[in-house]
Amino acid sequence: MAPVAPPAHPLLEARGISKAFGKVQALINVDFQVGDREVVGLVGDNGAGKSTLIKIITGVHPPDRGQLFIEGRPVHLASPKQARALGIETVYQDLALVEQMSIARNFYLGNEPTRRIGPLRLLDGTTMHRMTEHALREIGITTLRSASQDVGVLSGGERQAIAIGRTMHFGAKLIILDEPTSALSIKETRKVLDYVNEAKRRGLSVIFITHNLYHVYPVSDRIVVLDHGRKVGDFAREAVSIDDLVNLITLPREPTRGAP
Amino acid sequence: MKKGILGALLTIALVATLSYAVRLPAAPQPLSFFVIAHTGPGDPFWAVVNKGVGDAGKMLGVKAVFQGPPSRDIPAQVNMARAAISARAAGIAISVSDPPAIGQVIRDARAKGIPVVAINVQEPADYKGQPIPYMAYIGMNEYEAGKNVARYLLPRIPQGAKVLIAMHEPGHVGLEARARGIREVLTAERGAKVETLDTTQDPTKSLSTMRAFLKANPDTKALFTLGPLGAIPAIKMIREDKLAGKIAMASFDMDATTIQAIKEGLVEATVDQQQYLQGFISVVQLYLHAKYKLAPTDYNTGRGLVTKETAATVESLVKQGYR
Amino acid sequence: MGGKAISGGAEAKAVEVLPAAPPEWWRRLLAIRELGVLIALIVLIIIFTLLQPAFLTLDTFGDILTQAAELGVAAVGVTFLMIAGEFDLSVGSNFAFAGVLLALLVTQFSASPFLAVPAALLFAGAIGLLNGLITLATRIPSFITTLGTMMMWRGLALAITGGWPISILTASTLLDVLGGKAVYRTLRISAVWLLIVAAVFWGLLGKTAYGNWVFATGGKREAARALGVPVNRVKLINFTLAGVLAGAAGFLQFGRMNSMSPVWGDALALEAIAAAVIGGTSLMGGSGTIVGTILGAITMASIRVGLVMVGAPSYWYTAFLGVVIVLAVILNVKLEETFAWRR
Repeated sequence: MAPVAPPAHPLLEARGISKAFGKVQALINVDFQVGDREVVGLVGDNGAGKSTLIKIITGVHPPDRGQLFIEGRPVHLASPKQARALGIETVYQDLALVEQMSIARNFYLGNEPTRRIGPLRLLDGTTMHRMTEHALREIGITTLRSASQDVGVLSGGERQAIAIGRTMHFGAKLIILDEPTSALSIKETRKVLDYVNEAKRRGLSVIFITHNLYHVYPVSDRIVVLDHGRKVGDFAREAVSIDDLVNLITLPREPTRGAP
Repeated sequence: MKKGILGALLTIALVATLSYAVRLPAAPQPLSFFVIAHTGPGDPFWAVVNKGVGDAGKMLGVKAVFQGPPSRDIPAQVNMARAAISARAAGIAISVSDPPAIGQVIRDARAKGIPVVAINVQEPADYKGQPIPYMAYIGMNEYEAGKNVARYLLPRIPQGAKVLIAMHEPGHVGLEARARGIREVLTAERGAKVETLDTTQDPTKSLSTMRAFLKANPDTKALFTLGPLGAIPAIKMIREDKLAGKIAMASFDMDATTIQAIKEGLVEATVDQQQYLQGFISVVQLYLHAKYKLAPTDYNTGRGLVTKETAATVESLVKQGYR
Repeated sequence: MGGKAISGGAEAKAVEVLPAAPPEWWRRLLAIRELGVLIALIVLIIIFTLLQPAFLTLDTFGDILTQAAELGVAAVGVTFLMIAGEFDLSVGSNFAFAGVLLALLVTQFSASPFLAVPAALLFAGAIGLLNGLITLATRIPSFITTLGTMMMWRGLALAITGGWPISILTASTLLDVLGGKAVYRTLRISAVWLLIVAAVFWGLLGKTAYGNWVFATGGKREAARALGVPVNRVKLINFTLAGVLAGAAGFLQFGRMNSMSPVWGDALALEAIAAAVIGGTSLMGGSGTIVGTILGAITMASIRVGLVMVGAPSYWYTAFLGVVIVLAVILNVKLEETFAWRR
């Protein structure tokens, strides 16, 4: 197969983003990029501005200043719905799945397959179960009896995997993982990190937000550090060590919250 | 969801099989009689009927049961009656609290060959004029009783005076008949201004409603309550507001509170419905019909007034639950 | 994974001794969501039959199903709403108001039943919709808002009728169709309506995408919303449907009694919730079944009929009903906990 030329534009680019909430300046002139098939770790202490940046990227808030570009095209995200339509999906650790429902129902929530019977449109249960089981196997979950089991029987890591798998299955291009490993055991964390790699292998990009540098470091291609609303570091992973990052984050710095 | 349907089908199948497997005799072997009222546990009046029913059952050696919903509830009464019909009762006594609905139930019971007598409320026909086929009426003539007690209080009521009737169950045909009797006598003999208030079955609401009326109409000369549910709060009010002597009170039916109040002179008189008989006699009549095909007959249970003179004798019987 | 390599294969293979897996049919049986209420119902039938052989007849079951109809229809609506995470305490008042409205339209205004029934049903739905709008707009829990509307509609029903029931004294096809006509011995048409409503909502809940949305909205609203489920619209629709069914239940009562009183249906809201809970619906939202609720209503009707038939004193009635409700709920919860693996 002929080598594919890398795309001309990054998948997502945020240029000069500033955002204030009342007197508090949450982001100050931040440039942020995610390339094609790239895993970017977004780190920083509490209050650094990580969640604000993500909310802007996913359409929850508009920026005060700056511009977003998706595959080179400037976009203005009016709502999370629009962001999702463009392929940007978020997976929150505890808000992804409904425990009382089965895995199949969760997997297809919002995207339910139906078939017509006369004037009625009924849920296509067989397709749901079959496709979910297929997707589970692809992700690597083999311990389940069937997709009709309640989500409640799954472990935390498995749930994360299903949520990630779901975004992949329904055509996301950029997955944002918000603290995906913070409540997981070592084994489970390892599994989730494996799935992140799997997503990358399938052509998606990932933004991995976390406090835990030891988790994000092994899987990231690049690491971006925010502090008090500013970007203070943007490194290729090979160029920096975990200790460097720790030092960077904990460096005492004057909080500059006034006008940029 | 398949499991839900499976479960439901299992139940239906199980039940249907059992139903067909069980073949029953025409009537349950021990005779059972049901006395069904439109209310019950919440009203001290019916506790006496309950006792009458129970005593009759014991004496005759048959099963006799009193049934009634906690507060006036016609649909519940209808449901209970239908259950009694399904139980192949040997006889049913029922209060005709709602002529159309209860009338229908009585017709259905008679159609199935179950003898029915009416108690407590006398309604020979429903509103369409179609007769209700109960075999006999065992109870009081409400209208006459109302006239009776109103006449007893006439000496205490001046011409043109204001009178209050506390209606604790609007829509109850029996109570309405009592009130009608009272109203007719008072307007005819004294030109009195008679006001009827809905005081509800709740004693607290009843008390505040009556109190409010008397505050607005302090020249009210007489107060009629139509049963213990109305009398008990009214007596409390007379005590608390020290109205004895200022306002003449009379009531219907008997309970310990009313009797005590008569002894103390707070209440002039009460009509004794002798509801024990409504329970007792109806069971006896149904039993005699079931066993020997003797025809039930009308029985007027309420002919007298209880006044200060007779109160003491009656009181101990009230405490025992007979009156 | 780059970075430091973690040496794999050095861990000893964990030796796990699992208990022998239980047989599939046993698991299937325990997985029935309505198992709790089924057990309760069967136990009650057995007890009542032992005490009164006449209990176990088709006549009795016709009675029970007929008596369960009004409660059941209203309870289906309440269940549908509870699964979405909301309550409606005003169903009893809706029941009375819509029933009285229908009665008035047909008697005092001589409206044709073909106009009056849809009109009154529409109104009942509007009452439900109003409940939803108030709840969502004010963000006050539906338990509270519907407590208020409950009193409001009950008061209005009393006001427009003066407390008096409205009766239809002539033979009436409308009443026959609504609930009066006996279909087979003691089984009346109202029971048939119950089964139709149950079937429709069973399908709606379990077999459509909308049903999936209902479970998600009640189970975890924010997760549903994040996936594009219009949670507010789902709630509003369910409020409206609960209202429609409450009104329909009132029509069934009207049909059976030949009259409609503004004071009826007082305990309906709590009894409907009881039927749902006996049937396995969760008070927290997110799970429940229509079949379970129907069985719950049937259980409650069985208790009422059974107590009369065995000659239990009326005075113990409500107490007994309460005890059974509590036991049924405990049974459901215990089954859920103990056999969580079954699903």
